Amino acid sequence: MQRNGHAVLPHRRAVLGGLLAAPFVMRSGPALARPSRIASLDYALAQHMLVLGSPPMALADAHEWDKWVAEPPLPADIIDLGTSLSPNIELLAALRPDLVLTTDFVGMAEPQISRMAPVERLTIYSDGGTPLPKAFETVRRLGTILGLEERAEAYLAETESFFAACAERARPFREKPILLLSFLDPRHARVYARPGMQQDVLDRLGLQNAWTGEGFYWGFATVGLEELAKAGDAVAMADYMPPDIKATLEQSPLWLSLPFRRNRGPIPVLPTVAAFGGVPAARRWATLILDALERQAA
Amino acid sequence: MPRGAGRLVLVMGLLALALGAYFLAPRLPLLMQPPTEGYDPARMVLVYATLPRLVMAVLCGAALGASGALLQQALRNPLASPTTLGIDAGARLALGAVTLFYPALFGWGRDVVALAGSGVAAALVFGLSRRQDFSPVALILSGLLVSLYCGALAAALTLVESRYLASLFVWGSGSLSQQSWTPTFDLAIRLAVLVVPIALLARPLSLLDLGEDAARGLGLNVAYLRLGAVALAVLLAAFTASSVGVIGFVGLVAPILVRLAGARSFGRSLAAATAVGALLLLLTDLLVQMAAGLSADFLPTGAVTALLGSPILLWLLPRVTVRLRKEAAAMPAMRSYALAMRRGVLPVFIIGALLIVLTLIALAVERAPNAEWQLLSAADVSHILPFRWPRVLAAVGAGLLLGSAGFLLQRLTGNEMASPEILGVSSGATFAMAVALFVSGVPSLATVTASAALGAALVLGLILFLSRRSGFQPERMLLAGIALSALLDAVIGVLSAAGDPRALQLLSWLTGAGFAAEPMSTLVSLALVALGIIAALCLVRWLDIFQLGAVTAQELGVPLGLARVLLLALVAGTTAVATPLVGPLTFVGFIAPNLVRLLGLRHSGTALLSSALTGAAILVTADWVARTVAFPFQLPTGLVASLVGAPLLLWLLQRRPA
Amino acid sequence: MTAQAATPDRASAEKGFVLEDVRFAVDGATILHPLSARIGGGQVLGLVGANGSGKSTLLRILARQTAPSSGRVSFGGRALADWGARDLAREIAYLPQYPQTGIGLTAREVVALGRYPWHGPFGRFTANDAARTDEALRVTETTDFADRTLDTLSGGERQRVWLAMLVAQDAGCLLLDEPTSALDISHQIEVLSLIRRLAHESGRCIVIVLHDVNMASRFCDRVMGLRGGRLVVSEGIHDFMTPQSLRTVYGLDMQILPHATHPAGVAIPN
Repeated sequence: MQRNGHAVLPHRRAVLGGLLAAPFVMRSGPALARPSRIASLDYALAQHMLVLGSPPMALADAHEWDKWVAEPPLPADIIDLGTSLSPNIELLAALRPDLVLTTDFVGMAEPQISRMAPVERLTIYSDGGTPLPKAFETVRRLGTILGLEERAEAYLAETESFFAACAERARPFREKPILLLSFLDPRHARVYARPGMQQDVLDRLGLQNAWTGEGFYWGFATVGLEELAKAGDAVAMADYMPPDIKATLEQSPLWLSLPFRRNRGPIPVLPTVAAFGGVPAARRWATLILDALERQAA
Repeated sequence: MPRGAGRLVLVMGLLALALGAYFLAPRLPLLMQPPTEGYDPARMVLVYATLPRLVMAVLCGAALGASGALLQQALRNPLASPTTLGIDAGARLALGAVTLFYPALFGWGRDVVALAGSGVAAALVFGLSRRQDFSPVALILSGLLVSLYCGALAAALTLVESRYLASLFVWGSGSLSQQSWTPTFDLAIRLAVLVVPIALLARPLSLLDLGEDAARGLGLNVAYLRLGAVALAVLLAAFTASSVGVIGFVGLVAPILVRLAGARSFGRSLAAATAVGALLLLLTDLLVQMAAGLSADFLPTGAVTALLGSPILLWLLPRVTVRLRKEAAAMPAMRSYALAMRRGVLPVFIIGALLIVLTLIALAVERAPNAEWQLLSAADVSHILPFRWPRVLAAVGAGLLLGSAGFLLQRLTGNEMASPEILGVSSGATFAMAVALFVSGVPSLATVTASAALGAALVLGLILFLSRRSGFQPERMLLAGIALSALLDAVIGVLSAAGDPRALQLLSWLTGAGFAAEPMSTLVSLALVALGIIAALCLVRWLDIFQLGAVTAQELGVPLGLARVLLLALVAGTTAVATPLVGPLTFVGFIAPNLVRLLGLRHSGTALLSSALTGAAILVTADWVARTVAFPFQLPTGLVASLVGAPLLLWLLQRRPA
Repeated sequence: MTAQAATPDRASAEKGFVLEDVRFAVDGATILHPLSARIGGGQVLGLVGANGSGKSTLLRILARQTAPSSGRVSFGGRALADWGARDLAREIAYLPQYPQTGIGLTAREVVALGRYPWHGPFGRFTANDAARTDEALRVTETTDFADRTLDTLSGGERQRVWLAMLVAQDAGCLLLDEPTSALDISHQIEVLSLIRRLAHESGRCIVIVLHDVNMASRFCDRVMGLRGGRLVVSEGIHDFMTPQSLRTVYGLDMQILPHATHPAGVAIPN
């Protein structure tokens, strides 16, 4: 009866909605044959493909890889698809991919993409849970899709032992909380916080985060610098600091009086590392944090 | 008991005093401690963050309130505000460009870079309106265009380089956060310099209330007076923006509130607007600082002001009985070159043919994967065309809709600043889309489209309901729309300043970057386009008569209320169909009718069709440029539409001799 | 002359105004005190009075641009409020004191818009409509600049175009608010003669706000004088042009001098 009722009174919007939704219904699962022409709209998934030894054919924002991700290095022949939020659909179609990887964040383009190729949505940063376990899960899933299950398991096992070694290296620094910043302008910064990838890394290393407030699921909070007074004494480091900011900061009486600045001098800036990356990014964060801690202790 | 505006200032002042006392009482004793007594972060925060921030709020609010009052008086338009003249957009573009290309320039200080950006934008505005003796219409149009242009460029930069330019989001939402007294002192000094010239201009400006001719008769050089007043207003706003970022709402609403409260003489309303602006921002910032203690969310004061203020404006609107719009600034007479094109349907055919050519180019000329220019190859037809034609046709449809909606609205309101983008219908669509985005988390095109249509319908209902008591007075509806748009901007501002990447998704959609037309939705929209334009053509006679003014329209037996409701519903309906296609920020609905007006087409039927076709031509061109020019990047279609349309309009504006 | 002046009742039964206790107030200030009157056709009725006496307000009430605060206005035996918008526009045409400026339409286009009450939003613009438009341009002597846009015309030319639009509207009753204020003396005479002709030849009812007593004396058949929002005088032009009536309306002593073409004479302040 219910269905009949709808059929008798077709509503334009319902019809329209149905038509728009059709691509989702028709979307096929992973193709039977192993996909080989894969495009990724997400850095983290591309990182995972690289460590599995099967680089993507095309990647959104590929030209900025060296500025924001760096590790692992991206082969030069990977085609840039434009920005991840509005990838070049026509270019993608011309490349005739047999699989396109998306995330919740870049999912808006899916209806169009699914008219040309199967879509696989693998989201690491989403509500609920923390990113690192989800990143592990996408490595496994990509392993299955690419037929590289064993390599995926081997990489994850190696990652576990890498973190174990790092935790050992971090033992001397367990007492000092760490403050991880990303500067926006001379008055504001992002603080990496629970439940982010950086927090997962700190947890694996057995280190404390000096910022106890929660961020949202991308794992940071935006604050005015005066709020950093709440962090108390800590070892601070930043993954990004625009060139003009240091000069301004070092003239601010408030900044100079913040405990982590007063006790430890100007804060170090880390080399390039993906802020919202996958497992390789997590490993790089661990290395960079430990390097900075050891350099400061020396 | 003081009356009117004085009472408003008194009430707000008492409120601010009470709130300030409540907020500062537990903290002030810290000041009494001798500073040598070791290190105390709480005291440092009070001295170098909390107190300078409150002073900053007062300074910025006062400057913006005064700036808005000056502009609304000098430009004779209650919808004018510092944002209108491109001050914020110029500064934003300068900051974005310097971040990306010459970060070394920040060595001079970010405020200097922002100020330079505002200055260049304002100089452009003045340069463009110089030939028309700085007439209000010319200033407003040039201001809107420069603002559009810089804003579009800045937004395009932001979308392509979102990681570098995250700071622009914070800047754009007006955070008052401070860590030293330096910026506060700098701003105070800069503003202090302006006080005397403003005081000197207050009395001559008040003579403008008599009308320009009368003012001229009293010995005023009206053009220079206006130039001076606008320049001062620009400086006030530019100094503010360079210190703290964009605080858009205060400059618009403070003078309006003062006028609603009953201030009549300009000197009084300037003083009251300054006070109300300062108190408005101070009150908001006190609330924000108190809320910051309760939650960890980052709340930028500028955006929160609009968030709190726009519902108040909406709530006040139906209660107001005073006339909001000052005497309409009469359009200068058209020159005879325009007369040649005035009659007949020839222009319609010319623009129509142009549209067809542009559509064919947009379909056939492309960039190959290796970025070479080429014609669509036969081999690619089956691969690429299925993704291209819906997009191109959607651009045509959306352009037709927005072009005609803009024309209808400008005729209906008699205000050349009107466009469907500011009627609030687009904002409603966007709002609903934002809600869908945040509730569902995982957006799909179907939910987005459905919620956009629903949002547009709801806002239309709301606007009609709010304007019912005023007899659907167009000015009031524009104000309601502006309040709704400000509310939307504020929500996006709060979200994006906090760094929520979903704000980037929203911005991407707002600017038409997610321009993702599906074949079926495109065809349905085109059918609706045909319906809309036929309906509009039926009402052409009313549109003609509206040009003679409301009194004559009524005298001739046009049912004014009904006509307004029907036309408004048509505008809202067409906007609601177009918005999901290209996003709400194309400004095609603003540019196309103004282009047609400058071409000298006045007959409603011809002008309506020309405006629709021009809108379509702009959007098709914009979409083609967006797809190809920065290949492989797809620029946001909506933004490129501004970039394509604005120069055209500027060129026509310049061609028109004084 | 006398025959025309003596027929105020001819059309008033069907096509005339009846006002009963019409009052108008804004924010507690009474602009118009309760006023009752009958205004009929075939004559030129002048509304005179000092500035602020309420004459424009009364005219706006007759034109249904403003609703009275209390009291009843009927036209043609039907309450004014009950008329359909276009039905009323075919009967009553109104020219405000300050019509819209900045109009980019040509004079002919504006005059043609006067035909709207007859063809409505969807009807065809017929040959008859076109003929009426041409006729209106001709009788107002605006044909010469019919194809220029309104904002390129002088104030007087523009005012005659507005009058032409009213003529094209072909209403039985014309309400004019100082229609000669922007005209030079020769055009004042021409326009007022035209208005008078419209009244006397086609039996139209014309209500006209005039501030010039002597123009009223020359062209009006009857006069209603207002002072401080009260109707103080309502009489034929010969009775009005007396020192007593003029003092009642203007509070000023004047003497009436005979004049060759003004049968009621001209008034000169003492």
